Amino acid sequence: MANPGTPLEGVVIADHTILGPGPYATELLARLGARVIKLEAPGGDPARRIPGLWNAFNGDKESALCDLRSDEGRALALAVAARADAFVNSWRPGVAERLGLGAPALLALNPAIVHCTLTGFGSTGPLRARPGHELNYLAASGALTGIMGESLDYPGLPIGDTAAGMFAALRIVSAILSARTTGIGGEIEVSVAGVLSEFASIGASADDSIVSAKVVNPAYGVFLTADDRRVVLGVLDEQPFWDALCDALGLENLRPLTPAEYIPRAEELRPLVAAAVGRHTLADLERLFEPHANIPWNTVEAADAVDIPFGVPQAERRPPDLDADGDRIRAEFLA
Amino acid sequence: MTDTPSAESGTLEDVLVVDATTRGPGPYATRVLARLGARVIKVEPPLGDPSRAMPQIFQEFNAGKESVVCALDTAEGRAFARGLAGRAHVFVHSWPAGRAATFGLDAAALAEANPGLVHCTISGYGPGSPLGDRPGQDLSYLAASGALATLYPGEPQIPGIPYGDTLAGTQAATRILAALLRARSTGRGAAIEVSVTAVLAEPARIGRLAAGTPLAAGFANPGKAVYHTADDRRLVVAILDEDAYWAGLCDALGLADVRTLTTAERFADAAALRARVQRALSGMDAAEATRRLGSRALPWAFVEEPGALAFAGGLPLPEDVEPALGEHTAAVHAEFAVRDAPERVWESPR
Repeated sequence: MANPGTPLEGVVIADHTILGPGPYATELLARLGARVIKLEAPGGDPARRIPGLWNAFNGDKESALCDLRSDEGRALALAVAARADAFVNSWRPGVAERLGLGAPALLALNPAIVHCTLTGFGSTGPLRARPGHELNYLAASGALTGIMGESLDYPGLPIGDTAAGMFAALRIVSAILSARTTGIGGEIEVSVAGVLSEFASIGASADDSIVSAKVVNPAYGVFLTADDRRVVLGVLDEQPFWDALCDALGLENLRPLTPAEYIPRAEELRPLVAAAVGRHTLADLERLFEPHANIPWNTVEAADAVDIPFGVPQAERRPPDLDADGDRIRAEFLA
Repeated sequence: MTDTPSAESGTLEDVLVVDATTRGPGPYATRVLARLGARVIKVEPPLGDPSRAMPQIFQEFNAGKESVVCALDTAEGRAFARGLAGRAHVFVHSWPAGRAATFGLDAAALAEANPGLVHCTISGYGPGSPLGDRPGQDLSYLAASGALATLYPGEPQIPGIPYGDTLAGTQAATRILAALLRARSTGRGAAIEVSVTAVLAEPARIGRLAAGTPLAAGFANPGKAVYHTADDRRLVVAILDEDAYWAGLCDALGLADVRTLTTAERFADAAALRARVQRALSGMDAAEATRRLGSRALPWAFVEEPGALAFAGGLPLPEDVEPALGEHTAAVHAEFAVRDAPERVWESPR
């Protein structure tokens, strides 16, 4: 079996995206072995002013300055596109065409190219003309309601950027796979609101079921220990989980209940479970739960508290300085 | 642009996926592959995927697949599953560590008969993780990864979106297709392992990187907040350091005296400015807010219910339906019950 680490070796991506989801999509491709050439306007990607996000979204890339207002810049963009598997941009509708970098022009130049446009609200459909950031897409897609309920807070992680970036990476790989097989590329568009809208609809489809966030369950959710640590219990309608939890917490009188009995009585039973958890410190709970392999519980951790492998491959190289690879790339593609 | 070839659908038409996953992330990964054109054969235990008990979710994650019942506790069932995997390009399962090997369906065993196979294991916490084989689901993985704590600025809640299932499913599908791309040129497949918790660790980490910056939740910024109108429609405004947007917002709401404030001045006086913006919006209903904000190119939007607006640019949803349990058992048996050496659907170069 091949090393699954760099399956996209030999794939070339011409990347004109800036800020969030586009750069995240191409970084994911870079981490899988693709060569990502980040072509930046004078001044560079504005994300460079936000080091945390810049670093998270631009590792393993090459950077070349490419001023698309100049003939030289347009020539470089075309030369890279001519030899690329995919061309990715996040310009507003019409900009790529005006620059001679629309899908029909690039497909005429390179019939196997995948032309991908990242948009916020989508180039067609409602709100297409409106500018936006992550929070706007969350609100309009229904994802904000799904995650935050009726509260006036908003989430502390970029759900839209990461979800749309991952989805765009998926669509690009899929389209390249097809183009490498048939020799024919094509045009794809991924909008942040469109991807969030799918995730929100999936969430809403759970609304009538026991996994719905709107339904109270006796032993499903976040509970507080005596020493103020938050733990998650994940018991839904699983009898063995319920039995083990009742045994561990000494809730003998609740143990005989079946899911058909304990779920309808959630309002009454949840405070009893919460009180039982709240009588113990986290260390006590660990000791009580340890003999029961089938209690779905864990602590609410801070980001990076636990190092868990088999997630998203990580970048090996830091993001490039602006035009760090410019001379080499211009020599290679404009020769 | 009718003559531009569209890669929107049908791009995976010659790809065969054998899917032994159940519940959330695995079925979402293969559902996405099905929507991209792959043929997905869902191999189910005699009682079916437990998520059939939740019909709407089952539909979301399994429409467009074929269902074949296969009892892996029988020699016949195992032989049939191995035969299917021998002809597939992709095999995906979500069994606990070690279970695949007992069925003879682990990556090493299947690679002997089908060296080009992409073998993908999807797990909750990941093999060898500190939480081992403890049972869990979306909420558990959110909590363990740090995503739950990062998501909510105050008390953690239960999110109404299976973010772990969908994100890990998307990541698994990406990794599968990348490996397939490599397999098509080298003839050699791959063994991929994707853990939901580990996938969620990445957005959690990215969220934490934003802490203290204007992108963080709870950062005092009057330009970025959830407001409400007089008739209780919630709306968001998302202005970061764009002074022109702020000036436009002030013009729309009649806040002339604060329209020239710089980003730093807005952040410094955030609470008072938020109250000003809210007071202005409290004096108008949703229609009036739309009229005033909508005439300018401003980053604002109403907080909508899922599905209220139809956005393009996701992945087109075909009008397909979820299979009944075992609906395709007879047909798939008839098609794949070949005793001799497996025939590959596409041949790898030697």
